[in-house]
Amino acid sequence: MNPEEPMNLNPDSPELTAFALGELPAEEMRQVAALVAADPALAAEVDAIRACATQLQDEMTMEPVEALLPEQRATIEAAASGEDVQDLATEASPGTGGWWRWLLEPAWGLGLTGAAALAITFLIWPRTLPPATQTPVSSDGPRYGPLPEAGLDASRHRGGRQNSADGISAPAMAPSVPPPPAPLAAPASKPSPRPTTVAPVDSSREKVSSGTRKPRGAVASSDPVAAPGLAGVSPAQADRALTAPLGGAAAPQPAPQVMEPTLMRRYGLVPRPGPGPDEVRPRGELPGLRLPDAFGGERYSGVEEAGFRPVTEARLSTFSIDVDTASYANVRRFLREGRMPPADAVRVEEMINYFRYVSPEVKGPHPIATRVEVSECPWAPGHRLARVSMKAREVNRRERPPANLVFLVDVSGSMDTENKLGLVQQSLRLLTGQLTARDHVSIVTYAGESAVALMPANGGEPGPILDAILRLRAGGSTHGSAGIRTAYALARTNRVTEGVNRVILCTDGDFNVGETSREQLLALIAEEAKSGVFLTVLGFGMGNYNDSTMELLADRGNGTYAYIDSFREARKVLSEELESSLVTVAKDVKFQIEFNPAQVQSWRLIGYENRALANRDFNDDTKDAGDIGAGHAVTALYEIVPVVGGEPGVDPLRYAKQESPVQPARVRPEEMLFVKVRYKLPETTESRLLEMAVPGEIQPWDRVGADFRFTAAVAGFGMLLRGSPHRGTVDFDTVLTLAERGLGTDPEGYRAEFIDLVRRARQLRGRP
Amino acid sequence: MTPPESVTRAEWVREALECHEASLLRYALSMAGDPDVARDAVQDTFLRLCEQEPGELHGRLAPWLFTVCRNRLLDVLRKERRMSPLTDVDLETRPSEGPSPAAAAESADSASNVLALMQRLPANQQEVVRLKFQGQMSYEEIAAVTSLSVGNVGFLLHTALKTLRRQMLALERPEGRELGSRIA
Repeated sequence: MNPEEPMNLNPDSPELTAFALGELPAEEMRQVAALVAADPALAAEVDAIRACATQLQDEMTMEPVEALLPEQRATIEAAASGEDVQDLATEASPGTGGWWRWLLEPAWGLGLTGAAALAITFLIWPRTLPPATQTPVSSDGPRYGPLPEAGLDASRHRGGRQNSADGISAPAMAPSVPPPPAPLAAPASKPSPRPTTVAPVDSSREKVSSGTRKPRGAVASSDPVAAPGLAGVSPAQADRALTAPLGGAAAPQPAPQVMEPTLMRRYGLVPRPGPGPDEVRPRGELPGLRLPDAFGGERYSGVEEAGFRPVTEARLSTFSIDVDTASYANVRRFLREGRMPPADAVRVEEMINYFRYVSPEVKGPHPIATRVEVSECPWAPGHRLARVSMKAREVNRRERPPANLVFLVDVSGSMDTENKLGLVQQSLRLLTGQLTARDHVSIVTYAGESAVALMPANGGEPGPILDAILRLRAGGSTHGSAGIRTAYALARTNRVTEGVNRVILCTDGDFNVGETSREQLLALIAEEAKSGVFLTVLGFGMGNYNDSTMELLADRGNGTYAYIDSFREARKVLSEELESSLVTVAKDVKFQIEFNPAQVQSWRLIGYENRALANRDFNDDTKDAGDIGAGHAVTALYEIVPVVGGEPGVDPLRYAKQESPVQPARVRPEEMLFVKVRYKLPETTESRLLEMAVPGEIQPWDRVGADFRFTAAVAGFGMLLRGSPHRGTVDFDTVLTLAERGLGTDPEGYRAEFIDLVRRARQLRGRP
Repeated sequence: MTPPESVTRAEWVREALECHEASLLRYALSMAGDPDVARDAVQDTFLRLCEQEPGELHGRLAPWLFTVCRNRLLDVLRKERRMSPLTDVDLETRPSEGPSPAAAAESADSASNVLALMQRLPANQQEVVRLKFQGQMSYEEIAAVTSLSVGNVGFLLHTALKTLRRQMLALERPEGRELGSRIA
């Protein structure tokens, strides 16, 4: 690019490592980028360095380490909250401060001995409570999955019906709710709505999510909005209070109390100033004794598993593809923190699709290829497992179409932590390193108001881009809609035809829609998607992470949604799989499977619960469905009860012969399935159809390939984490065996990481 | 440049714990070789943090924590003259939050390879690698923590990565097989 290039590089130059790690100053970055682009040997070296760095990053962040002792932590937390204890003590009514306060204050006074006693106290305390004290738990139910009465229409995006797995997952979930000694008091002037009565209101107002947040691990207190002054709530803040139940970020708090500040904000009540020290979360590391701290303020929509469906009732299975991977990254985060993830955070299809598989070769006129394999079901003797995989055409890095990217960065107060804005900056630096002179980047920030941080800049000159990224600072309240309008406007003005036009939203999901209603915002995003500007949503942070809203936004924006929990994940999404993330090769991809009653008695689709489509929508081109990026693979598993096998748990029917539904339908008896796929090219509105018949012969399980085994392992793991009633004989050991035999070449080490997570989960569940 | 006003010190410190406890402990353990010494140093570091104004460290929290922790360790180790590298015995005897020893042994050929290799690097390279990949710090920040020059940091990291890559290549597993057959 720069002819008077003074720099001289060979594969052993330290500059190359610095470049690969995104560590060079902007000017040198540009020079090295040019040299690397021109020299395949250097490019290979950079790739090798990156691969090595990724692996290091991966394994080093998983290096086992003994945490601080509980008393050490208590000492730190006491020291940190010292002043605040004094300040708040006078205003806090008993109980207001949360149950923690009662434990902390003695610790503060007694020093280390007290703290040690404290540690013991809190570790055993939740187990010794009489059942009666746990009644408030019921009001907390919808946090992870809507209660039937509260959530019927609560989350239409992801089902919102009663979680059928509740019964199963209850043992894991129940202890996660520490009961408070008393509910958090509302300001004296206003009555505080009871959680139980308010839950239905919650669901009607917040259609997207039925959960409430239990804040944890974020910067601001649970009442950051109100903190500046009781009297001085700005209109923006009030607005935020009304429209964003997530409000600001928040500190850890025992679950039942969280409801109240959240609700107070929602109703425009002014909560008292920051809750201070009482929110210190116990951080015992012993899995068995871990304080049931629940799941932050994170919101997950309920997932209802579809069970087996008899072919007599359902001949067709229709679903939209889902290439999101966020659920896996999120599950990984939970397990690494030593906690089991909430059942509703586990979306099996997103876990399966996180991994790369050797998929069918894409050739011919279609940008996608599909393959179906059928074998025995490893967790249900007699059942079949059908693996339907789809792969989108790869786009070579060098032939990637030019990109017009607008980074829309949430710089509101809640983003102001190392693992949020800090990680956003690292991620964007990484992405910038991948761009070329054909690409353009702009940056829009939003907080109290939106601002253009960088007017469209040439990707071949990363200097100004990196500077702008470096200058990003958090502060102010979130006002997403103005930012999103600006971002789309910029994307449209700089539109590249035959290229990638994309808004990349980086946020913790604490998204205030401002003067626009959520519906209007979604409509806006859908409208822009039609015009060819797609949306990628990158979720950051922990604690007030709003899973359901983010998935919905990406969904409407014809985009993908990834959760960036670490620099390593940023690498995967923004570097290794950049083409997949940016270049959509097919949109509105739908599957429809027809089961042949001659061979199939009943079936169930594993995962994709919120991707189910009505059968008639398959041929309806106006019905939106999932999109697939270059090189993306989508895999779905069906568990099939063959006609001979009998229904699980049901004795063979004595009079089945005469009534058998099989008899009248003996058409094409040699086929088991008929698979149809519809997709549209990105710029078209008319769908194309692919079809194939799958014969009834199956491969024995010991003959299937590594990918099939690994997919089954991930599905089994997902079912275990969800407490699925359909998990059959699968246990963690089975999952480990499947995964180990399904390891394949695992070039990036993601499968090995999965195995580590399974071991962690097994340990958390108390198995040796 | 100031964090939101509503951040209390308690929350700020807890956030810091959340983000940096594990990486500081790993770093401290690798320097000290003794989990108790490591934990004490990390506790002291966070106690020092409690004395700071949240706004003052904004944007440079990680380097600050690692610098304090490092200085603390050097003090202690100097006093106690126990500046010995992490030994295999330590690795085996300290309880781990990860897989059980049996499970760890089982996966020894995959996951712990890199860690084992890394522990064979010279101390200064190892430190820089840890600060980079566990501390998630930039060259500049690492330079600030270690009192090295940025160029020096870059050279150490480059050398370390090169060594590791060479050793990892030598250890690479044979390729797995792939039998997926096309039915339709």
